[in-house]
Amino acid sequence: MRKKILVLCLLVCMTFSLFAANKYYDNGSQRFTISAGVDFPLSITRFADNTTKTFFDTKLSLGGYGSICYQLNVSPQIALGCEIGYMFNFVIDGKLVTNVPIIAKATWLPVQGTIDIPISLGAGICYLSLSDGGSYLPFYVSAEIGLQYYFTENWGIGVNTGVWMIPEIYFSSAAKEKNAFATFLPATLMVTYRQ
Amino acid sequence: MKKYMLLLFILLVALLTSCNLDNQGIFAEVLDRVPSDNRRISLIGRSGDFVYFSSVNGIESYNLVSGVYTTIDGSAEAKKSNRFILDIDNNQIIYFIESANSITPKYDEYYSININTKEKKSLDGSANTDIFCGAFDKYLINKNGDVVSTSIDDNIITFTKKASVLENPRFVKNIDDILVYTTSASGIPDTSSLVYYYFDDSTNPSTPSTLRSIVKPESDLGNLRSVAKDASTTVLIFSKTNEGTSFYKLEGNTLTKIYSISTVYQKDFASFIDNGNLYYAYDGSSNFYKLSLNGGPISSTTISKISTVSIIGYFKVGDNYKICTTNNGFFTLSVSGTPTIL
Repeated sequence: MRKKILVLCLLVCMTFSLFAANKYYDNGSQRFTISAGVDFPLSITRFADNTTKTFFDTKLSLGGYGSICYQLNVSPQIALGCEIGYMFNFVIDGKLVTNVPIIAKATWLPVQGTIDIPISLGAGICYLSLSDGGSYLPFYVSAEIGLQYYFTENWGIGVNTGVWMIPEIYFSSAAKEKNAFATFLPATLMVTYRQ
Repeated sequence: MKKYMLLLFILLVALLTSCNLDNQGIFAEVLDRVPSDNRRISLIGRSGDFVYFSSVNGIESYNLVSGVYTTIDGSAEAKKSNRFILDIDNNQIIYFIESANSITPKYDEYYSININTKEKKSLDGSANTDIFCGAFDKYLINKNGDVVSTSIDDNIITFTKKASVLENPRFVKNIDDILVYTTSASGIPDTSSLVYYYFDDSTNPSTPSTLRSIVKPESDLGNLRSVAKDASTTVLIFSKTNEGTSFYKLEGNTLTKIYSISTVYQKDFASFIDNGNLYYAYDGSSNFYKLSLNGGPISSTTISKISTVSIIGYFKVGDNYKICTTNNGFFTLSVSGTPTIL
């Protein structure tokens, strides 16, 4: 099994290196991305009774996500910036869970040019609320990978996926039974303008 | 630069603190949710194993034992303002439809439907322009504070005033043969609720019903939200802005506070008493609570979790209770041993 993963990683790196010769970005290059798509609930873990539910057993529906992201290259391969988004999922009883992540995002661009493969890590907070329940401001972490095709010098379209992690941790002892950890898988289309 | 970083940090801490005061638990809560049937149930009453209610499907019944729903009248409008009376003696539901396009709401369409044969009749009667504020079993209470009974002879419905009370009744609930309501006397702000009790003379219909008990609290208790009663105890639940919710035991005409929750101010409570314990839930919470009423320390315990639902009624079935909710149907609650939703 380990050998197979190693070979796969090697193949991915080799693929990257095929494109990596083309450097497009410089220090100061800018990327502005608009994304829209769906999000799948991956898992919810409630620590109080050690319950983990996955996919639609989480009682959440397939949801939607939209975001805007601005990034500035600090090196030819690394871009830093921020993203704000809006995500929603319906609960099985018809109520709405909404989530507004506000995150700092670092992107590594090992492949760039006509084809970009952005690999990003994001961290920040999100405003999480339930339409008939409470609201909370937990931390938010994301790890994403995308594939973009630039049909002009500046404009590109692509797809993006990854995993979002939301630890809903309460600090007061009275609320500790509500501690939970949720993950989501996004699948979005994105349009990027770069210069 | 350091100043800005510090400012940003303080802002972030303030933001986290302010948003996180509302500790409801979102993902932990979501796992307990149950599917909604979106029926928008309003209860009419219970007869034997059947509970009757109006919903988006019209007038329906629910068999508490078999769990089967049956539509009695699919054409009956489930408008919240319409009023329904369950006339158990004559196996019928009488209902009053609020007139459309009327500036002053009035009820001048009357129907009856037999709950067994499903035979429906349109009734004649003098138009009643009073706004019915509530219906309970076989009585209506109108905006003038009159308790009105109905009788049907052939197809003619007649309203008979049974008792007069003060104007503007605000909370109406019937438990067994007791009607409980609050009213605000003219000139007193809405929050100054006075509590009145109306005891029905159902055991002796030939005697005009009278007000048997009037409770006038010395101070403003807030709004009456729920009443629970068994053979020996009556508990009233009040919510008051900025003060939370308080539970009072009624002994004679005296109200004695037995418990209070300063953090909860809610509009809808559902409560009942079983074997010396008060069980209650309130809108916006996914918990049931149990409060011991048999002396000793009073404890409130989370006994079981279901989704956040508006619980609108409890019905005892054997050793268990069936809980009726607005949009999630019926649940079975066991209160023997550790209370649980089955």
